[in-house]
Amino acid sequence: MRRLSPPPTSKLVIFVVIAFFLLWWVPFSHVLPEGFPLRFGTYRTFQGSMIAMWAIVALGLNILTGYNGQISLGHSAFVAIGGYTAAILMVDYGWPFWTTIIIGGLIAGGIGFLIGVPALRLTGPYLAIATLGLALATPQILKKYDGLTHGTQGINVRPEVPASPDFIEDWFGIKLSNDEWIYFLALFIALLMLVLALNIVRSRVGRAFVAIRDSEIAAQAMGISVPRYKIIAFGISAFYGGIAGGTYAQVVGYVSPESFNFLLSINFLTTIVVGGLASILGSVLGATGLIVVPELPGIVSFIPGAGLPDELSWAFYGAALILVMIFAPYGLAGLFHRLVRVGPARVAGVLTPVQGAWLSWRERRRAPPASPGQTGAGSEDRSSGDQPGTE
Amino acid sequence: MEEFWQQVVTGIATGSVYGLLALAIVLIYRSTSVLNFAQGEMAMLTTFVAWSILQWGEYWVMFPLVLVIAAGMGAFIERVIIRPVEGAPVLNIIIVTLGMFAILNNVATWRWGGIPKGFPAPPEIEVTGIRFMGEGALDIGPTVVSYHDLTILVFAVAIMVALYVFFQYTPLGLAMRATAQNPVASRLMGIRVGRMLTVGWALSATVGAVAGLLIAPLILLQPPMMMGVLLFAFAAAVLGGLDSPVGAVVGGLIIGVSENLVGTYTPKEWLGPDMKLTVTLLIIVVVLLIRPTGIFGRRAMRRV
Amino acid sequence: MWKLGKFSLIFLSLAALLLVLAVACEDEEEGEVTPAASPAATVTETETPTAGVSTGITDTEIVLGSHFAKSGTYGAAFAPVLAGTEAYFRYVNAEEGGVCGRQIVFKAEDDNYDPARAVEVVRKLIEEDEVFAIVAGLGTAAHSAVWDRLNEEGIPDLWIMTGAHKWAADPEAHPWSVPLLPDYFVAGSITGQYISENMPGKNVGVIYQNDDFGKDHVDGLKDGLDPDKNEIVAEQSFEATAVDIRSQVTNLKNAGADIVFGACIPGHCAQALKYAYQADWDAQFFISYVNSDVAMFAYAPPTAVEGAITLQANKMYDWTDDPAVAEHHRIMSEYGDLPAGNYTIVGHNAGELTVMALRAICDNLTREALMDAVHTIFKDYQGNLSLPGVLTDISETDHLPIEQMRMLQAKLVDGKGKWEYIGDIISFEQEE
Repeated sequence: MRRLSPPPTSKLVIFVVIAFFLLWWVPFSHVLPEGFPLRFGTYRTFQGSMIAMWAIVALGLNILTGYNGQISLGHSAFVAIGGYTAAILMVDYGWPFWTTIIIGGLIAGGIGFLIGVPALRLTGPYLAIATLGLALATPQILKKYDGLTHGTQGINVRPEVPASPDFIEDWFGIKLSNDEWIYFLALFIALLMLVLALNIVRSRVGRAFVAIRDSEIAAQAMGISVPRYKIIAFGISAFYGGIAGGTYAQVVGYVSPESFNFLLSINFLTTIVVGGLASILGSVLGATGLIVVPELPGIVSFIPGAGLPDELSWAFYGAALILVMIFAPYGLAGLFHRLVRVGPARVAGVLTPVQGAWLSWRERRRAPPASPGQTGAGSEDRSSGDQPGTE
Repeated sequence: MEEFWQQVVTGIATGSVYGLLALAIVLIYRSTSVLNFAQGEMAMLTTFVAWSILQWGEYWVMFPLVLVIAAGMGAFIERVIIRPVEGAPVLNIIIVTLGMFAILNNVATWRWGGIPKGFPAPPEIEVTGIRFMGEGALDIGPTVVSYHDLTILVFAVAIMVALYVFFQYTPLGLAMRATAQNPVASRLMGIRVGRMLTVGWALSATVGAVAGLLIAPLILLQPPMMMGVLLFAFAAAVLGGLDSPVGAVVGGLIIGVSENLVGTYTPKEWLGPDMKLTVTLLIIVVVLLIRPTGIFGRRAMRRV
Repeated sequence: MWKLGKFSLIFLSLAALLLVLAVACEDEEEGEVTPAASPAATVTETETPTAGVSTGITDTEIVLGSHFAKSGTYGAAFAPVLAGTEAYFRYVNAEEGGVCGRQIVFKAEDDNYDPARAVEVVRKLIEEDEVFAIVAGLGTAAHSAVWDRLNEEGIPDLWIMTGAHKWAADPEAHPWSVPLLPDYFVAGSITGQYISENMPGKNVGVIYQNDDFGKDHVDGLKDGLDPDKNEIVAEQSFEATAVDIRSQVTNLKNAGADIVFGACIPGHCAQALKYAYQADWDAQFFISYVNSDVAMFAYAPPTAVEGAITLQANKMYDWTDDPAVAEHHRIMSEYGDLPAGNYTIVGHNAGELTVMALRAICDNLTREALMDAVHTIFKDYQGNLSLPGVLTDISETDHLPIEQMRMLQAKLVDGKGKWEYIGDIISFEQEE
């Protein structure tokens, strides 16, 4: 992000606009009269909470997959652990919500550390499928031990989800509605985790992650303990999943085995690749896409003549994925960086299919990626399947 | 003991189903180094096409026709959808296959509807008095095995052997392997890399089509029909080694059999059939820890 | 551990900004905050001032909403339910001039069977589309995530299209929710009663899908079986994604079951029946009511299905001699997106009940009035598409519309399969 460097004043303007959007427009614009341009109803506020929640998972998964190069298709399991921990502690034991989110995160993180150990032996597709196994097993485990998990019926957390606490009223003098409160809660957690992620990836630990991703041997030669950092990456990533799960319990208010099936894991992976691997911005953009894209067919259908059969909304989603991968191989974040760096004129070129695809490849081959946010999927080239082996 | 053999035989029948689709996965992985998440949906779509052809044609007319259509579809997908991301990071290609998953599944639902359809097993053939394929079952001592199960097993083994020979001894197969391992060097050696990739996808779609045609009679023809199979096929391919056709089938058989044994012989109170998927996956992971590239997978060297 | 970088500063300033903005918007907030709904809220929030006119009702339209899985993986099999409801509403709009002089606008949103997404789309329906009621919400997990919200906000949640037992189990806690699909628990219990009455002394083996569908069926079966007459000798589960359930069938056989109770959907049930037939195992199969479809004879050879027993509360779509079913076929072919089937009949039924309830409250179109109507007009009501003798009965204390079903047995007629009634209508006996 540092590379963007637009003039300082415009940077400030952008910052204020974003802050205003997040802190006032999303939660409060429903008070504006109906029909006000771009007014967000309370339902949009809820969607904002969902985006914040998925952004947390995306940040965590990006640390593991984008920065450290380990593919995980099992993150729904960590979200489930966080969600169920929060739900069980709140509903069955009456714990305050914020402790349950933290404990959920810690338990998920601990399990992540444990899983990180066997994951050391596996690479590439083998790791992907082994972690997919984790995602597959999770609902079954949740259903089996129903004394703890309430089984197939799931747990309804809604009655326990707190209303806006008194201190908000004391400090700010306003009483937030439940939606607004949950939104600020999710946003606060997400921002906290975002700052944490930024610090991680810019720290020594983060640089070690990237070094390992780019070349384990070179990293080792530099004195980085490869196993140690790979396990740490798994643990941190799972911790993020757990925190997101705890947030899920507050935002959605209901957890069940079906809430956390393997399709969710696949969605997470899609989120970070489409958003942009090894990019904090990408994680946020990806999570936004996850919520916004299903709405696009509806938006498109307002344009006369552009109506898409409703039954084909999933195909629309699939086509969107493919198009993003073809025309924006570094995801939305990569597109954004291009936009800022090379200006809209050339990005528009991307839209002419052949030329755009060719341009983007040529550019990637010639210029080494500018920032760590640009290196692509763990520099796994096509022969990666043939060079695993860490023994 | 009788119970044990019953479960083993049923497990082999199930396992060969997994193995059959795993072969298609291995084929694509071997020729293009891609995990194809749309493999199951491609097979599902060709099976729907087969169903439409069966409305007016004979089974054995439909069969080769569908294989040709499948090959065409595979080649088309490679040329139009995969080619633009050729050389992109593996994860990008995985996302593209996931996008295809969504499109193919949705198109099938839209075109043929979500209500399951019955699909026939290959009709009976008699060769010199010995019966092949068709409906019905064969009594083999402790248990029965249906002709259709045998058909699946025979197809799986035959395709496995064919692929083994193809990759080991034919120039085309060797060229495809070379392409997968190192496209740049292969191109320098005069291999037409693009064509190899197209052929790889076409072949894989064809094998997948066979899998779809043989699996549909077992679990009914419907858009989500390959979902469970695909997951197990992935597990089978990984267990056996992603670059080994033999591994795919053996992996499938191991999973099929161990699933049944876990379901039958583990304590029902805290494991049992409720947990057979979990325990089986755990077994796979343990095997992978011992052999990180699968049972038959080639141990890769570390390159600097 | 990590140095507080620039971004921490940004974060802190964000927090400060939050404070400032929050104070700034205090004025606007006052009086605008929607009151937190109390759990037992029975008050409809009438936002429009006009008396007797509620959210989702205009002079020309009545807006209804639903959530279900249109696309996605497992959803599509149930899409016909919504297609049936949709077709019926179109038919009413076109041929009967709508309801109460208004056209029905039916908005169905895709939730992909995902609870989180279901919350999202139902909130959209309530808050953006401002629907009057939710009709025929589909999917147990998905609906579980939204029904508390609907009850808190006092939005009618009619004709839930899943048979989970909880919807109707406690009408006082959820006064706004009424299911329609025959309850899995009730169906299991009725089957249990039938077994104990007609086949005492036989051992029962259970094979069920490992989710609420399967487990509610099994709980119902245990409720209906007389423990002195029949014993359950084995219970085997399978996952909804299972490819092959023959191993479990083998285990039931080895456990000495004479009767198999299958809480399975058609694909798995057909596989089990076929395997038992191939293995020459002549156990009596009882399969869930979702299998009561002539298509079963296409899924498995008719000879394999022969003898299997299922049950049904509605008329089946292939009984085209019945005028109501014939009319349903006409409606589906003229107004429907999908061909007629058993699921479209269920959906049609939901549409019909909705329209009946709406017609009863034309002079007072409010949500409470709708619920009152639902609670009062369906007293021993014989639906057109229900089996003769199966009466829909709903009251404030009883939200279980269908408590009677009739057993059907697969018979072979000229080599073709056919479902035929056996026995009389059996009523679910509620244990208090």
